[in-house]
Amino acid sequence: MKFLKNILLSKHLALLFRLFLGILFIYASVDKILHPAAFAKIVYNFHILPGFLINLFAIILPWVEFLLGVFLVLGIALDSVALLASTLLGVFIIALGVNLIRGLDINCGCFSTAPATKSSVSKRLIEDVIFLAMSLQVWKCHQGFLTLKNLFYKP
Amino acid sequence: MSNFSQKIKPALIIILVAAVIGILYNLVSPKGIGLVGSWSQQILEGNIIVPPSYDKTSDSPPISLADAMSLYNSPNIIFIDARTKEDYLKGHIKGALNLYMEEYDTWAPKVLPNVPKEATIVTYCGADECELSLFLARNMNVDGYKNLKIFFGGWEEWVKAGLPTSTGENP
Repeated sequence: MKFLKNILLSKHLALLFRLFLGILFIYASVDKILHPAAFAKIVYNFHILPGFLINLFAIILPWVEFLLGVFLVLGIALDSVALLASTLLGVFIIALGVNLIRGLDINCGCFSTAPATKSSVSKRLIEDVIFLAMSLQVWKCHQGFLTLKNLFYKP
Repeated sequence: MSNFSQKIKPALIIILVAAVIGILYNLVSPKGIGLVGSWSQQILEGNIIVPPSYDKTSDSPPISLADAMSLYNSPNIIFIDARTKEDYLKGHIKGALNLYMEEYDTWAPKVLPNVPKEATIVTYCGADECELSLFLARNMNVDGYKNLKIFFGGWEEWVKAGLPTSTGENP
């Protein structure tokens, strides 16, 4: 049991999660950056934001994801970055959850803006909960292991 | 508390930097969109709800469920389902053909040879949120179909009204 706990809270697992989440955030952002109109439509489909904020959100969010991804991979300001990633994932979970309860059939737009790749809301929700758990693990357990700062700066 | 605010600060800076990059990129990108878009549904005469992108002056006329029902029983009417094949197989308006709008260029040569140009066409998709029916009508208009109507209520309204449906490959 203690062995399992040691693994779950290890900085090595945090590194693995960090790289995985980083690449995931970058991957998820690229399609949205390339197709802002399609992503804005998806944001609209969620029926959560007021109309005047939809485009602005669709323009900014993908870049937040992209920067988060790059910072996670490189290990820059990890405490803040992991916190922001967790907050963002929490917001996605709430947005998906609200629409699951509402029964709205929406294309989540987590990875792609093409309706052909639409997947069920609940599946996305479960994925995001797993990603959130990973992100919180990174936040709590990274210990600065193999981060840009610690690679070049030895106190 | 100060420790927490130390963590918040870089997070806010990331959001700020993302906002600046995003807005600048959007300005120079050929695919850029307006910072504020028009995202309210329009309600036309006869209480027909159409998506924000519908243009009254140039798009094919929208029809209500009642219009769709009366057209359904008249001759020379073809309903076309603009949703994915997956959605179509799960259930569609009985008699409707399937032409998935997002892959119009590959689907149209297979489906449209069986659709006479003079026929009255009713396009539909999921519900009034969805725009596939609108884009399909626009594409078909370019391809020479002039008698097009868009049933924005779509599959959702049709099913709710208990009207004839079919599943699988059969129209």
